[in-house]
Amino acid sequence: MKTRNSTPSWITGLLDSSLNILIPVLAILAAFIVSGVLILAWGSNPIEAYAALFSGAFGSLNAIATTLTRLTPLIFTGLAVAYGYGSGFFNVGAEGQLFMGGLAATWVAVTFTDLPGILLIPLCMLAAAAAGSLLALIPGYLKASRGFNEVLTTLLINYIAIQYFEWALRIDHPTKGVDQAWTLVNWLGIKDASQPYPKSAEIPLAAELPSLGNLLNSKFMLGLFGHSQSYLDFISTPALNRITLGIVLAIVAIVIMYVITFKTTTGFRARAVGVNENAARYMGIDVKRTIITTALISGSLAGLAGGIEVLGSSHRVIERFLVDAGFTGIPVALIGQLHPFGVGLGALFFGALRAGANKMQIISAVPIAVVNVIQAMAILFAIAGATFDISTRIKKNQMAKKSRDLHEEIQAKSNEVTHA
Amino acid sequence: MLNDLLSIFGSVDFYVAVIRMTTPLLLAAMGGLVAERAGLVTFGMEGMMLMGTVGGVIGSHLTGSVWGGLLLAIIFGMFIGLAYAIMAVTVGAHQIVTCVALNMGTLGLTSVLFGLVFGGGKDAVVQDVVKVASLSTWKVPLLGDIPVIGPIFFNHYPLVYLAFLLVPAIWFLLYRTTWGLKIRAVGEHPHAADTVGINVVRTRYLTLLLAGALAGLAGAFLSIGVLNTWQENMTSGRGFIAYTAIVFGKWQPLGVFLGALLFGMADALQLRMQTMNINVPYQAMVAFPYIVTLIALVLFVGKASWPAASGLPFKREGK
Amino acid sequence: MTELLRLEKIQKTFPGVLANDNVDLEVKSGEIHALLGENGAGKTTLMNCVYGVYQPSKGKIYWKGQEVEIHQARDAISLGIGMVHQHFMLVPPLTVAENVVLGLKSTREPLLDLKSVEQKIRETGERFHLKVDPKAQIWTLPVGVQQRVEILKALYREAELLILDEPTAVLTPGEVEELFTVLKELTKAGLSIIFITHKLEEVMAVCDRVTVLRDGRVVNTVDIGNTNQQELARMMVGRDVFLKMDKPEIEPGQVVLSVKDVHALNDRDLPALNGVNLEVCRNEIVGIAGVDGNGQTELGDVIAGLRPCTNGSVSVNGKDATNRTPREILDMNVAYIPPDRQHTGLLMDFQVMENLISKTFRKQPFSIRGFLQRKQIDEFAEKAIKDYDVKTPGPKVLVKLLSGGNQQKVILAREVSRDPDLLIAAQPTRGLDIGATEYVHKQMVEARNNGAAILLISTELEEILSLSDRIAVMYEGEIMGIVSAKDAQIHEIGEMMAGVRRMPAQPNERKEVEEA
Repeated sequence: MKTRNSTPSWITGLLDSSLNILIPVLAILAAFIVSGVLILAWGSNPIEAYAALFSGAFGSLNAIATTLTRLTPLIFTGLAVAYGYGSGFFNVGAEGQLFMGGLAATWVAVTFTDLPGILLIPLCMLAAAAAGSLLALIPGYLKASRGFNEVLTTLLINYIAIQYFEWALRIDHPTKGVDQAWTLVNWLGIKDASQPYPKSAEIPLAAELPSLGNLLNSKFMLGLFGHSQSYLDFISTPALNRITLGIVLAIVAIVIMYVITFKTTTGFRARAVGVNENAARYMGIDVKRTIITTALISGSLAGLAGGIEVLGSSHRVIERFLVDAGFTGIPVALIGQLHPFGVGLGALFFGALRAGANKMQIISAVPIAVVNVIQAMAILFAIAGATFDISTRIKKNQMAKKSRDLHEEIQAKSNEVTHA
Repeated sequence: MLNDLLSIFGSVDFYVAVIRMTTPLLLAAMGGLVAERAGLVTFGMEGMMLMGTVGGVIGSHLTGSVWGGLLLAIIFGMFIGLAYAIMAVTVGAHQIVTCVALNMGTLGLTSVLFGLVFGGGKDAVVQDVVKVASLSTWKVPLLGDIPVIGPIFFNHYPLVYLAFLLVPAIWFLLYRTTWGLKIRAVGEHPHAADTVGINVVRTRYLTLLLAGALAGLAGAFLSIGVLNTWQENMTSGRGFIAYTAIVFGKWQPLGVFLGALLFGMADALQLRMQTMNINVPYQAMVAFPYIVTLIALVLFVGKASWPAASGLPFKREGK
Repeated sequence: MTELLRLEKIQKTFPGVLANDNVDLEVKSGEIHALLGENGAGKTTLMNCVYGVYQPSKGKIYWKGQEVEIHQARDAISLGIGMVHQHFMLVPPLTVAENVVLGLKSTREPLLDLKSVEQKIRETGERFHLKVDPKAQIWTLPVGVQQRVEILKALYREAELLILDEPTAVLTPGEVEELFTVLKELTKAGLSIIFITHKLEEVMAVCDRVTVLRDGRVVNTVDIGNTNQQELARMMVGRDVFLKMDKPEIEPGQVVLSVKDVHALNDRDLPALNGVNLEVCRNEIVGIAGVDGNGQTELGDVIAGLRPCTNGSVSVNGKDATNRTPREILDMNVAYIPPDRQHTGLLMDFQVMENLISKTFRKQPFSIRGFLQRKQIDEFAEKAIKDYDVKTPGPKVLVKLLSGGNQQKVILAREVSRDPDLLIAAQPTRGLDIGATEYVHKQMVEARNNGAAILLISTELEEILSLSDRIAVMYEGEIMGIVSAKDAQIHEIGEMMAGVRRMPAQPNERKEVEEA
């Protein structure tokens, strides 16, 4: 007797996941509505404000470039938190890992200034990932071996790392053309020795991620389209230089994490430990090793967030250079239901909010701070909705009915046979 | 460098500053401690404090009296405490995520509230010096006149005295009253407490309201207690430091007090170090509370120190 | 002696389960009344109805002749009923006095008046041999002393009836004696005691009357003076008639599992296994009978590598398997169906398909170089669902949405399809309906016929009797005896389960031939 599926599996799969999407969408909607009330109290028109928000995020090529810039690091931190959390390792310290990642990438870039881009960029990214994962290793080890709550440990190391970053930003890094006696400490620093402010030197051109502008201006593309005046006008848009390989790398990261999480044994183990650590043990899974692996993966993603921001967008590290992107990874991950694709959508939401906030303030005089409120409400509604677990209850009833129907069908069939 | 350090530690002003910088930490941490002992994670104290900062200036402005400011700060703080209680206790949502959301949201909400009261416009939100009534110091008669000790201990704003008096008060509450017994039981074994008839939900709500009130007061101290102004993110992480103090103090009132004091000193120290040319980076002082707590955590704070039910939602078993 | 508590036609149903059926019970003041029965007999459920944890579906409760309704523990307590559960309701970091007075109004509200509480605790302790240091923190006290605190809690609230649920499960023999002394003192002072247990020796030693429950119904209520252990054991366990599975007679093969003098601790760090010796051969099912809590769960865990063995050895197919990692034991072709389906048997939030490969995912053909092979996994899942009759709308459904029976089939499919050399099945049909149970039994017999060695651990005696080739009975961490199923006498098994009989292991027929 075969178990028959009356509907193709991709449709049932879609129906299953549609309930998963419903909660975040409803939460975001509710957040906009409640915040709309706040905007009314402020004296502005919420519709106008939200329209400005949307336009500021998507309304022009420049807006899109800003949105993409905001969204890229959020994808990485969101993936970092999502993968960790799905494995029972709540990486709250993504912010610190991100800062150290940016620091490491900058350090490599300004130290090995003469390397060609093809070597320098991967090296910087590797350094960023390594820095992030190293930072996560300590909490990971502490949790695996001694059961220490990783929330506290990642959090504490987070703040320590940020202070280290602040310090390094004020220590001169050995810079060409600056005549000073360099000590060992200077090699730890990252400050541009040729100027007094706490910021690093700009990374060499070779380390910058290629942008869309670069691509469209390349000899190859000019050869194809250079004859068209509208093309030449288009490619001179400055916004094109702000859309970089970074977003491509972020999308690649989403795909890679999707594959790792759902198509590899590593991801299987991680998810099993996240679902039920004890049961995973019963399945023969080495829980300690899994926790440490998860911490390393999560940390390296967060580190990459910082590295790619430096290489693609800011091209240097400055004070508070990517502040809040680490902590925002948490709601991005949760609204994205811990799924890599969901993280992408969540990052889009949060990134767009930040990008559009400026325009909303200019046009509707609504303060940027409202965006924080919208974000917070979205998170609160989303986790409240998820906790009520309505979908599971609905599903269970559906399943029970489906099973009963199927069983009756089979019974009926076998009766037919015997009566035939 | 040694000379510089000696000049810091040798000055009376420094110790006065230490006491003053400890105050908001202590106020918040003591309130948070009570809620933590009831089994709740109070990582959201930062948000409560933020609301307190803005509540203080708004209240003081609207009523013309600093006490109005303090009252509103308490109310604002309690409002966040209530929101958190609904999420954590009634809904049973993930407490840390809720705290992150509340911290994030209050950062924005405070700016909006400030703008609503003091006039909007593009720039009003970020930095504004607003003249409101603020606290003045009370000198304790007689004791305040003793040389050296007098100015250090007995010539402070009333909130400072409150903060320090809270330490024995909270100790007494937790260990010598029936309320404190209920709170401790709820935080360690809520089911056992439930079977003897204690209302776990109500106990947790009340402790969070207390935590909110005290954190709100702590925030008000920052805005109208000393500086007499408001700006965005006035707390700059003090709520997190207060939380860290609770962990460092292993959830005991005396330990939390020592932690808050230690971290207050680090705060005062790093401020002075920034202006001097000392070889030790002042960032180390800013990071000091976290470093020290991490070491203490690994070495001393075992699983037994946490309230056993910390972070876990309470659900009655079905009939 | 007057009537204190009377239960009239109590019925308690849960979804799909009739836990108490038409139960009548009467407890007089000043008596120690035993409630005797196996697992699932309904003893704890019944007492939970008296204590207000559950509400009876039908029936009445009379207290001192008056009909009462008890909706929560507080109601029971105010009537004068106290209950000491198997899992203590004590807050570990608080002191004895604080625990005793928790939830009660202080004489000096809101200030705690611990001094007077401590004094009263000392006095009561003196009077009833319940000596405890009122200032000690609970976590520092041994379990036996913690139990005294629970009793003191009830006495402090002026209990007239004390219900004890399997109180000796956590005590050493010396502590058991002390408890009996306490109980006798309490009854002298006029209290009544309901003593829930499965241990016959204790019933005979300290109780006045005993009510035997089986399958939710009362078998009989007798005076201790008018009965004996054999009779009680028979009442507890049932008649000799049972359905035997159709099993072909197969000569057992070589020894697969060898357990020698194994000692282990349970989760409370008390001894759970006290020198277990056991062998299971190919083509045979050895059933471990016994009331829950006598070490069976721990035995399964130790063999599977999930619990440390403090002494003794375990070997599988001749290879040492003592204290190896669960993964290593798995790789020795050992399959384990743990007793707790939901918490350790399955990953509830995973799909059926994922659960089916949760022990084999790391090997070919299900993964190559770390990448899961979708096609092979899909094919395997489809086949397993079909072969093991798992009723599910599809392989990607989350396993928590399946019924208990189908969940168990998933576990069975996962373990038996690996063609294991040794299969440990703990409570494999717990919570399953008749159809599912028959199915599981059929699969197990088939595996046994195909050469597997099966260790069946179950609290359902019927299941043991119908499936096993040999039956071992566990009591307090030891094997009381091993008999061949053919010659098994129900009353002997019942007595072994209740701790009052030992039987030397029947020599394995195969061994006899060798020695000859």
